[in-house]
Amino acid sequence: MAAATDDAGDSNEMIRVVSSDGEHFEMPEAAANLSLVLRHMIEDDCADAAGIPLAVVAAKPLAKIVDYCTKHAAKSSGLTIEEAEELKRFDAEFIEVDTDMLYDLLVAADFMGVEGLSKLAVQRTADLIKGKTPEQNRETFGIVNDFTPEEEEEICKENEWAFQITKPPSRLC
Amino acid sequence: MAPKEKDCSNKSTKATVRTTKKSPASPTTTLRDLPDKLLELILLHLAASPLWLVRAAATCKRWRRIVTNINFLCRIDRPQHRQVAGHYQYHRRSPSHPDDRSLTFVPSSSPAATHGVDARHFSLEFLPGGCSSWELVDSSSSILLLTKRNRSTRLTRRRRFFPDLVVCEPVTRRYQLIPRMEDTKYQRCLGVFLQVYNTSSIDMWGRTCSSMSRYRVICVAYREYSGVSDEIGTALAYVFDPNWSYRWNRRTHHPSWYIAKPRWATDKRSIHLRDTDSACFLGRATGAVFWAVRDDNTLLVLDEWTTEYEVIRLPDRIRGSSELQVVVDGDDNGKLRVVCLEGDVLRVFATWQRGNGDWVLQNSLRLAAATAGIAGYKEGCFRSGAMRVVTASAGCVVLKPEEETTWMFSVDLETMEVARCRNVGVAAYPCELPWLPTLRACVTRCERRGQGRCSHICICDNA
Repeated sequence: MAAATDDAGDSNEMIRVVSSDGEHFEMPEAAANLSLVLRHMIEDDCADAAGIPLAVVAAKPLAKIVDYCTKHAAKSSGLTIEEAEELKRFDAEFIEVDTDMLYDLLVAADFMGVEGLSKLAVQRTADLIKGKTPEQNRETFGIVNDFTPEEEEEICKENEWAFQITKPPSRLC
Repeated sequence: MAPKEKDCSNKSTKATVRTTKKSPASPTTTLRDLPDKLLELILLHLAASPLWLVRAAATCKRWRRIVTNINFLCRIDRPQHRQVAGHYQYHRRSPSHPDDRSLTFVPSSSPAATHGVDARHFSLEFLPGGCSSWELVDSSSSILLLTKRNRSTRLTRRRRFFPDLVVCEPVTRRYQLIPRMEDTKYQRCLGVFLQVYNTSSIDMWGRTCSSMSRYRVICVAYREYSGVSDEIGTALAYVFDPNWSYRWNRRTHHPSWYIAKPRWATDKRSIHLRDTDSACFLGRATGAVFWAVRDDNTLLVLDEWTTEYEVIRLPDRIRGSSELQVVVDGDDNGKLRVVCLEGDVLRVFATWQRGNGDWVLQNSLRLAAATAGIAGYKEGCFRSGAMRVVTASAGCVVLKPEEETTWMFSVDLETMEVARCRNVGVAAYPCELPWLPTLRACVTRCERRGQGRCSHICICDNA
């Protein structure tokens, strides 16, 4: 999935896309059709040799998305049970990324309108949040705690049961 | 809470590398760059558990703003299968004193249901007078209904006067005392029941309502007819609904009891009871409460939602002296079964249309012969003949001979198979985590007592 090459002999038309930092990617038309934005561009005959510029998608997430679409387009219809399972495994492996990449994918998939990937990334992010304490969540996602100590105390008081889990701590919160 | 650094950029070397590479064309995406729309989608996945939602709302202001937003709350579907966090159970301290019981909370065995919420949060010590002055009579969803235990007189309980009640949510330690109606004070009570609305958590004015305001209490009381010499009376359903006065008369803010008026058109054959003891509580199933009226050989049925009574004639073959138990199968239009014990003969009658269908004798079983093969059987068990129903669930009853204390057996009502069973007979009241959890948009104390911009979510006035 490197930069663009001339691939004229292929009967399947290749669509070129350009990332925000100027890298070129290529994917089959069927794969590009998974993205709402690309499909509309193709329908409007905007897909030329120069490639479709995607102003907000950087090269790294774009490479992943092209990867995802190519895989899913190849197996879009008439899936056997094994193929469906293989696709599931692919998804599970595909989304095992660090949080930075996850944000990139969330934003890029949402921008490009790749519904399946969008759902996958949302689910993955939610899974990261589930079962964690607020402190752990802040750590995972690099969030600054912007509550004042008074507010935090109030929050703890509001639903005390949710913040005291295993061993009773010395303080209330 | 120690002050936090401004961002995560100094957290890992990778992040620093990325920042050096950063060009105006490809800025690093952080969580702050995610539009609210996406973050909302992510947080919606957490709605499956109240615990996850509460903790997400405690992470940062932005998450809290999203989670407490009315649009977010409207998009949450109430989880279909709520998991029970645990059961309240009564355990007898000594076999000789059946009234000497202690209430314990037994957490659910699956850790997924409680998510590790500590069992001590289910303690009832926050109730006025402590846990020991109340008796648990019903539970639904995350709330419990308790009656005041009157220590001084057992007589009071036998007479079953209209009780003092409290409704509480253990984990949030909120409770509401339910005042008695002055004129019902000396009416005798046939049963008190708690109902929780399964409706959306958003009311018609777009405000969230906490689980503590989505219940109603039904108290079925016996009222003597005045001017009739014999002890003849009727059953009345009193309903306490904390939202009721709100709905119809917004000037009176004190919720109070009201009498559920029977529909006179259909209630020509009104209910006559000879004293409270003639109505014997049988059970509760699929939204209805059942009593057996001994003298009349009928079943008194109260529909919990419409609070309307219905009288069902029992088959003539059931004699008044026998022990009865109603068993209703799981689905709403399931058949109604009556288990009738007479001596050691168990008979099962079934009807498919409540009220107007005929009763069919489904099965009949001689218990002495059927139980001879199971462990613990003693010759003399059935000599006195009296049998008791310990508990009944869909399609199954548990029985024991009257004198026995430990030996019990269950009867499958479809196959009439008999099996020994242990560890039943403790009344268990299931309890869930609150849904939706109370989350205030403004976490600083609301100065306007719920009248400000946060009024749709603020609970200042009932905190």
